Amino acid sequence: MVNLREDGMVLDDGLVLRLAPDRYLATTSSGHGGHMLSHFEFYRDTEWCDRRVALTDVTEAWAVIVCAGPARRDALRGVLGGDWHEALGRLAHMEFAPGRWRGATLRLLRASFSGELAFELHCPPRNALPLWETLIHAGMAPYGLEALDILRVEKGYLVGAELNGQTTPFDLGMGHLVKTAGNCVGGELLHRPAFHEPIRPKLVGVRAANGRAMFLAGAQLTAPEDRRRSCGHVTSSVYSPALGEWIGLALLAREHAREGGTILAQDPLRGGDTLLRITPTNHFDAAGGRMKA
Amino acid sequence: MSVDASPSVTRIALESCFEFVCYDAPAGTDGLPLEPGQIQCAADGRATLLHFAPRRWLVPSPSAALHTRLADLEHRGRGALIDVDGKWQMLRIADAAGILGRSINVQALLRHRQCAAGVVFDCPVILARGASVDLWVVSSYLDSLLAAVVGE
Repeated sequence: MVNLREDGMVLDDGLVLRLAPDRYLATTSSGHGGHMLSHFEFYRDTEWCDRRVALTDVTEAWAVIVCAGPARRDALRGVLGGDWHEALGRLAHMEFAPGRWRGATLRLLRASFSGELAFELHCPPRNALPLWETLIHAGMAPYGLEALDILRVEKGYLVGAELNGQTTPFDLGMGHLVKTAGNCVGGELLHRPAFHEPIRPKLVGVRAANGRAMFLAGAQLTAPEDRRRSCGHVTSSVYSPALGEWIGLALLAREHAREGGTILAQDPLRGGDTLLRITPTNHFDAAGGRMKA
Repeated sequence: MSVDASPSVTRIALESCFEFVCYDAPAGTDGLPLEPGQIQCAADGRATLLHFAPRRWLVPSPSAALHTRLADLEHRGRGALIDVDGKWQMLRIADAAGILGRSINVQALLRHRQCAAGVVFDCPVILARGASVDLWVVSSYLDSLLAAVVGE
């Protein structure tokens, strides 16, 4: 799910699970639940007030634990027990299965924000600690936000640095997700000529041209031959242990966003200048073999 | 099950919790408290249906009969019954005017209604008037609220 504002800018993204023929669960990016609920309620009450739709915030009614890594399917077979073996083997990427664990509701969602084979375990909050402790006892290890940030930059997944309220789905490579049949919120203004000019930003991947240098988010991008005119900025950067070099994402004017080309990252207060190579946004396992294993 | 957080504040465990949303204005035949601010109680005096926002009711620990009645309303297309187990935590406060008085005027808030949604010590809550005041707070705010009211 990609939500646009009225002006065509991306507001948020998330997943929608169809729990029953007439019941859906929408997830949003972290901390955006309240804002997105207001957005949905506004359109339910104005544009589509004739529809019989109820919206309820259930953020507090669910705890979510993500188990990610190539061995997680087998590990979860051991933790969740025989009732879940079939679902763990069957679920394809972006599918889910409801069930029970130790007498309480459990939802298993195969989705990944890390690029690895991953399952989200959705359970009532009171069951979260026992489930967590069982997972840890089974040998799984917690991973933190820094690890998650590295994994998501490797895959070119987006957070608030890229979904910054000033980017359209076309800027972010999400054009294929925009509803083309009929109308959608923000759809009319997406076709403004200004949104398709050469100076509009485009999300690109970046790496140091020499394969070694560090560069940081916030660095301004300029053409090497025109160092006084900014044409974008680095939105995210991490050191990737898997690739052995610094990698990043950047919003770069389309006229400069040629894959294989170079661009200069200027960061005078922190690191000086770094020549970057423009790459695809997906730095690692581009075919998604690990995630879909 | 209940646990005393202080002599005046008792945590009451909810066996289950739902919210019911009506698509249209409720009718008398729906068996719901019709006006926002009204509540419906079980025989033991416990509030079981709290009309805390227009066309929206909190349904803490409903009996099987009440759950069936609301599920039937949903089946008839009158509204939606949503399981929100874990979203709300319940407190019973014996001296609400004194304990909550640094944040809100409970007596004024509940003078002309039986329940109200509001914010107490920066925590989103629903309050209901009875022999004491019952309060449902959004779960992640429970610790902050207890710290404010009983210094826990």
